[in-house]
Amino acid sequence: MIRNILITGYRYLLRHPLYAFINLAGLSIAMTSVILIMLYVLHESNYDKQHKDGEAVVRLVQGKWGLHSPSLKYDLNDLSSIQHSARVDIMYGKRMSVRYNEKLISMKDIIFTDPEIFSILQYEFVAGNEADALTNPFSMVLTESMSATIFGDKDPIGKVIRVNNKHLFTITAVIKDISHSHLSFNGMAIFEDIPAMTNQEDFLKRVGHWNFNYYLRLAEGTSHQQAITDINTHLTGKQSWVESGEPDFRLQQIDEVYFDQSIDYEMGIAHGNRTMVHVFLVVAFIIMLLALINFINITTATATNRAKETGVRKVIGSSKPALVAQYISEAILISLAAMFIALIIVELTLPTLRALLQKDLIIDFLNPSSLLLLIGGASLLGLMAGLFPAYLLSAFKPVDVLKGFNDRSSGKANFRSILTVLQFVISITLISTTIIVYQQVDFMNSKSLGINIENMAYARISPDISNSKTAFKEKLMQHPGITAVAYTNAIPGTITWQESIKVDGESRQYTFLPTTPEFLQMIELPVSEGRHFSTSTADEAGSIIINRAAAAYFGWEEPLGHTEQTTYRGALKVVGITEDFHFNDVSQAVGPLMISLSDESSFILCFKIDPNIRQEALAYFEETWVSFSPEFPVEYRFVEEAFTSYYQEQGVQMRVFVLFSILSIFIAALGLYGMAAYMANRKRREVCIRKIHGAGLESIYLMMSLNMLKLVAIAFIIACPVAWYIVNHWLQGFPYQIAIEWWVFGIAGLISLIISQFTITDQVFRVARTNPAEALRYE
Amino acid sequence: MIKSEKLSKIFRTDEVETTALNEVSFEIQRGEFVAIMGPSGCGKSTLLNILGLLDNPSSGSYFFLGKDVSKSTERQRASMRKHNIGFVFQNFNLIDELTVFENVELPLIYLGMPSKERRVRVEEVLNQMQIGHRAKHFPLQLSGGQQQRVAVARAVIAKPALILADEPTGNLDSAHGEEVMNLLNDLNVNGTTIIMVTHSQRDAEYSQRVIRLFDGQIINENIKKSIV
Repeated sequence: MIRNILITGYRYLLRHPLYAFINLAGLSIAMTSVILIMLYVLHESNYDKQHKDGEAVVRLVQGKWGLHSPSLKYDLNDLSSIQHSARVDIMYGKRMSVRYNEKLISMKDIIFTDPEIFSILQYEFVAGNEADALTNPFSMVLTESMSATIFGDKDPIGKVIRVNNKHLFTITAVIKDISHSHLSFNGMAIFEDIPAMTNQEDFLKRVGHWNFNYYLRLAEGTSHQQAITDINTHLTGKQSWVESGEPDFRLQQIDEVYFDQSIDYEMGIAHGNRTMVHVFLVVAFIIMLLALINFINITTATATNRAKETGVRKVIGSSKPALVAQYISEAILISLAAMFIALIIVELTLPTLRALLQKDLIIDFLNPSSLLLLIGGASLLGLMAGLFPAYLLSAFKPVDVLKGFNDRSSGKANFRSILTVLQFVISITLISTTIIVYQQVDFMNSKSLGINIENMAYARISPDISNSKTAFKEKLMQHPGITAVAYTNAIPGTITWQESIKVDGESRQYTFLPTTPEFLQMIELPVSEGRHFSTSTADEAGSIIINRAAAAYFGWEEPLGHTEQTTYRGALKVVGITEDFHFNDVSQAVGPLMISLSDESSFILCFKIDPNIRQEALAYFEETWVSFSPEFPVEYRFVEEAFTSYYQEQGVQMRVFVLFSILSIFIAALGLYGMAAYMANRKRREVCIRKIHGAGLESIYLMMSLNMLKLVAIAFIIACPVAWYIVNHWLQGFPYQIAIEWWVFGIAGLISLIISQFTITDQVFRVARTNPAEALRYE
Repeated sequence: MIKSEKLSKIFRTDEVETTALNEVSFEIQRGEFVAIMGPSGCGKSTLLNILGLLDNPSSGSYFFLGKDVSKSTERQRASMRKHNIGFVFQNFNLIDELTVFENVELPLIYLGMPSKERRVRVEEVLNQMQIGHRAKHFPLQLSGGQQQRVAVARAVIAKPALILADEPTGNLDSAHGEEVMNLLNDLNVNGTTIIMVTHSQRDAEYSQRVIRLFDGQIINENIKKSIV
C-alpha cells in the first residue's frame, strides 16, 4: 500500500514538474532560511547557560552601573546570603606585551579576578585544576588558543612568561576557549596582584574607583530578593554612591546579562540584540508561512487534476481516512525532500553567514537530537501543509468526479484569493519596510560626525613611550607622511568616562574627556562660542569646553563664562561651547560632554597620515615604536575602523534582514507564478470561446490580469498602514530618524504589481496562442 | 441479489429541485445480465450510482445481497463495494500515474492481499484479457479499447459478484466495443451478475433483460432470453 502511494505521488509530481518545482523550491528555500535563522537564534539564546545552578549565579549592578569598587568585595564577604563573590577587572589586562624566550607577542583580554570565580562560573579545565589555578601570586590561567599562541604544542604548565617587560607570571592551568558567554577573555590572573603591578598600594581599599564587575553565587536557598535586602542593608553608609546616598543594588541572573542592555556603565560585557532575535523569528515565521501558503494554494488549485484518482480509489474501496493519510504522507514526503535539499544549501551557505555575522553558528547533522528535530520539524510542516489539501481532495465524491469534473465552487477559489492577498500584503509590507530600513541604515552610515577623523590612526602607548611622550612625538613628526601627532584619553567611538556634578541639589551626569589641545585641533573641534584651549596646559587649569547638549542639560543661565564649584576638580570655568558632534555611536543621541585638558590622562596616541604616502608613514611609525619600546609589540588602528565597528554589527544584521526579505518575496513570487499558471489553465476554454468570437490578445490579457490587479489593490490597502506602523515603531528606537515618505509604499505596491503581472504575462501568452479547436476538443 | 423498493433520488440546488429517480422498484437475480436503457437525463446513471453504492437514495429501500443498504454510511458502503462490486466506466477512469499492472492490482491492495498472491492473480487476469504484454505501460500509452480492457480487468480482479458497467463501449469504435462486450458476456457466462447502462441497442442485445427508464421511472422491462 505504501509503495503504491509513493509511486502515485512521485509520478504525479513528475507529470506536473512546474507545480512540483514550485512546492519543492519554495519549501527548500523557506526551510534553509528557517534553519539558518534558528541557528542564529539558538546561538544567541544559549549565552551563559553553561553555569551550574544558574539561578544562584548573578552579576551585581546598581542603577545604570555595572561597575563597582575594589573594596566592595570585603564588605560582601560579611554576608551569609552570599556564598562566593568575585571581582573581574577587564582594563589592566586589555593589552599586555608578553615575552616567552624569543617570542614577543601582544596578549589581549586577560581578566584579573578572584580565585572564587571558579566556584561561581564554570570553566572547563584542559590542564591544571580549579584549586591551584589562582592560588599563588602571579599565577595565570590561559585559554587553549592563547596557550597555543605562546607555547605552540608544548606543555605550558609551570612555564614562566614576562609581562609588560616587568612581571613574571607562572602558567598554572589551561581552560577551553570561552564561547557563548557575555564575559569573554583569553586568560585569567589574580585581582589582588593589581596593586603590585600598577604601584597603587591603596588600590584594594578604594571605595570611589568604580571599574570592576562583580559576580556572586548566592547561598543555597537564598532568593534574589533576600540577597538584595541583605546587601543594601549591610552596605548603607559603607561605600560611596554616585547619584543618591543609599545603595540600590540589583542582581542580574547570569544568563540574562547578555540581552540586558539597561546598564550604561560597564566594561567588557558582550551584548546581544534581543529585538533582532525577535525580528528574525518573525521573518522565519513569515517565510515559512509564505511557503505553506504556496503549497496549500497550488495543491488545492490543482486538486481537480487528482479528482479522478480520488474517485477511482474510492470506487474501488478506499476509505476516506486512507485517502487523507495518502495525501498527507505525500505532503510529508515532499517536505522531507525539501528538508534534504535545504540541509545541502545550509551546509553550503553557513560559512558565508558565519563570516558575515561573526557568530560561531554550528549545525551538527549527525547529532541524534538535531536530526530528530529536523526530521520531526519537516514532518510537522508536511502535516500542516498537507492537512487542508488532503481533506479537500479526499472529500471529492466519486459520483461527481468520474463523469468528468469541473471545480466551479466559489468557496475554495475565495479561500485561495484570501491566501494570495495575504501573500501580497506580506510582500508589500516587506518591500516597504526593507526600503525604509535600508534608508535609515544608510542615513546613519553617512551621517556626518561633526568632526574630522579621516586618515587618523591611534595606538595605546606603552610604559616606555609614556615616559618619553614628547621625544616620541617629535621623532614621529620628522616624517613627511605624518602630518600631526597628539595624545588624548579616548578617541571618538570610545569616549565613555562618566562624571557628575550637582545642579540645584540634583546630580547631572555627563561624559568627560580629558585630552590635549593638539588632539582637539586634529579632530577640528567645532567650537562655535567662546574659544579653543590655548596650547599651554598649565594656563588652562580649570578651563572646560562643553557641548550644546551639556549647556542645555546643566541649565546654567549664561553657560559661556560660567564657573562651577566641584568636589573633585575644584572650580571649572566654561571657556568655549562646541556644536554637538558624535563622540560615540551615531545611533545614539549626542549626550552632554565636558572636555578639559590633562596630559597625564592622555595615554592614547593619535597621528594623522598623508594618504599619498600611507605605507611609508606607517612603516616609519612601526620603526619608531620599536626603537622606543622594543618590549611592547606595535599595534595601531584607524579611528574610522574603530568607530564604524560600533554600528557594523547592526549594519550586517540589516543586510541579513534584507536578504531574507528578498527570499520571502521570491517565494511569494514563485507561488504567484504557480497560481497564474493554474488560473491560465482553468481559463483555457473560456479564452478559446472568446477567441472564436473575435477577442484579441489585448482583451484576453486584460481579462486575465484584471483579477490579479484586484488582489494587489486590496493587499496594497491593507499593507500600507501595517507597514507604516511597523517601520514607525522601529524608527522610534533611533534618536535620528529619516522621515517616512509615501512614495516608498507606492514603490512597494508597484513592485508587487510588476511581480504579479510578470508572473501572469508568460501564462497569458501561452494560453492566448492556443489553437481554439484543440483546446475545446481537449475539454 | 438486488431488490429496490420505491427508490427515489431528488437533487436540490438553491433554486431548482430535480427528481432523477421516481419510486423505482425492481429485482435482479444472481447471474443475470441486465441492460438499463433510456434517453439522456432519464436517471440511468443515477440509478447505477445507487446500485453501485456510490450514492444513497433520497427515499425508498435498496436491498443488496439481502441487506438494506439504503441508509449505510460511507464507510460501510466502501467496504461492501470493495468486496462485492466491480465498475467499468465509459471513460475508463484509470489512474494515469499508475501502470496497467498497478491499476489492476489496486483493488487487491485495498483488500489487503499479500503482494505475491497479487502478482499471480494480476498476471492471470491480464493474460485472460490479452493485455499481459502491456503490463508496464501507462494508460495514456494505450488505445481506447486496450484501456477499457484494463478497466474490465480491474473490475473483475477481486472476483466480485456484481459488475456495473456505465456505457462501457461509449468511447470505443465498433470493433473494440464488440471485444469489450464479448469479455462482459464471458464473465456473465461464468456466473458474474452484470448491470449495464447503455445507449446502444446492439450492446443491449447481449443482455437477458432490458429495463427502460424515462423521466426517472421504469416504463417497461423486456426479458429477452432465459437466465443461464
